[in-house]
Amino acid sequence: MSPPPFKKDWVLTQDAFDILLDRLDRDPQRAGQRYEDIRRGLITFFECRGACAPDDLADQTINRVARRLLEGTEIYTDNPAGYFYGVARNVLREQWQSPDAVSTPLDSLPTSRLSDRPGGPNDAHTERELEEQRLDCLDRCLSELDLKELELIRAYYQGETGLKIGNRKRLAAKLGIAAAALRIRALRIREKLEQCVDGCLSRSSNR
Amino acid sequence: MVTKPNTRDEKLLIQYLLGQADPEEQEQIEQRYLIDPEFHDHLRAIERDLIDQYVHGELHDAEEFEKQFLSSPQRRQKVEFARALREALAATPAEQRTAVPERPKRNAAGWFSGWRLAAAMVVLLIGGWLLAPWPQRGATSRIADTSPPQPAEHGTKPAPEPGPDATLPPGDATPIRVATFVLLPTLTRDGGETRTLVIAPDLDVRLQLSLEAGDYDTYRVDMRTAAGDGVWRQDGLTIVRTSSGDAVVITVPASRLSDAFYTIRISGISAASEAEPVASYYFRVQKR
Repeated sequence: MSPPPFKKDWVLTQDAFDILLDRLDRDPQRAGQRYEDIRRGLITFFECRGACAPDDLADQTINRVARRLLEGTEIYTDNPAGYFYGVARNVLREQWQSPDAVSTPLDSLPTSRLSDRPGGPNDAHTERELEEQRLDCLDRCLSELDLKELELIRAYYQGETGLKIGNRKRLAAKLGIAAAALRIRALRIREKLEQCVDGCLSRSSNR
Repeated sequence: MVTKPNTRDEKLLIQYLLGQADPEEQEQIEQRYLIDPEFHDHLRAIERDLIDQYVHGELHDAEEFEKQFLSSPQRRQKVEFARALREALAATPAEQRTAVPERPKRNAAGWFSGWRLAAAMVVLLIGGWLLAPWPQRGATSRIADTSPPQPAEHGTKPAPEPGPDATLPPGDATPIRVATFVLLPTLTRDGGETRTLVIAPDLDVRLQLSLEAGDYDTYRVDMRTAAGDGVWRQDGLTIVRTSSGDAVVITVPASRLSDAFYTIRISGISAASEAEPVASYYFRVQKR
């Protein structure tokens, strides 16, 4: 007899969360960082595998692991992230097998623009409005960066094609860091901007 | 920026992001980035570079990219963000400007003076065919204009016939986000009819400017209206190999275009950083 399907609506309790963090690392701060790293990694996994709600599935995966730990399951591995991976694959498989799973071929997606705004009509006028809102939000978010971050992100994306590569090498030399490190710094600022813009757009749509 | 992966890791990660890694490699990559946050950072940085290349029209595997990135709302948002970032940063003063505003402050006194204009140019519209250095065409690659390809005329060359995989959109098909056109250099003014690009109002326009590979490492594209108003300017471009031959490729946002006549001038940037005229193109845009 196969075990009943995992209850997707199981809520992560504080006890379960504490046990999970403790398993990740004895030091609470490091544990919190590892939790964030794993969650981000899970979101990337579900995104790259084409899942529709990567954030939800990542949380579902974490909840499942936390519940198992609460129920006494032992994770016999040096790095628990590997265990999360196994659970994530199961979550993904269940998602694809679920009767609720909807696969949307590219052809049938709205073709006037790329982005979707939940609940909103997808016509050219709305898309242009959204584009304008996104630009307004981005301007606002850029102004909220500290000066060094703003200068870095502007310098990093300055120029086109062949000129950009040279610019970035010079920028890295000026900052006294390797090109790879510069790339990661720019990534962090960009992700910060992306989150800021997402938040700004959500607030605009809720008005 | 065209990022050429110079490490095996980077090539594999690009394949992974484009859904082209084999299952074993896929698993190794996934396990690694779940365990190693630095590796995860590296993957995300490569993803952003890929998105930027796509947004700048520099990606060779655009079709594969679109399959992976445009079928997911979260990834599409990243692409939209990249477009917005490009526009926001282009609007700020910088050593290298990437775009000219639609209403420039200068008073153009006649951009065509001193030019040898031509009218013998053919705009080749390939129904259902997205032209670029991309290997295949799929059902997702439709372009806006359903006009039949124009016959070749003196000084021009025809574009290849659409292959068996090309699909022609029906008359009332909703166009997708990019329309691609091949433009051949204007040779002489002979009083012939100016070619018209008919596009949907919300499409970006990818222009493949046919050009013989020359002595320049980079090129500048300067697009203006007939009145001399700046529309689009881009530096640092290189020649890419397309199915129609060598070309300089630019993507102009729909918001920059209106019903008007346009001229594009390509200049090669010499070793002394001087712009030397190479070719010009003349056409009209009609929004439907």
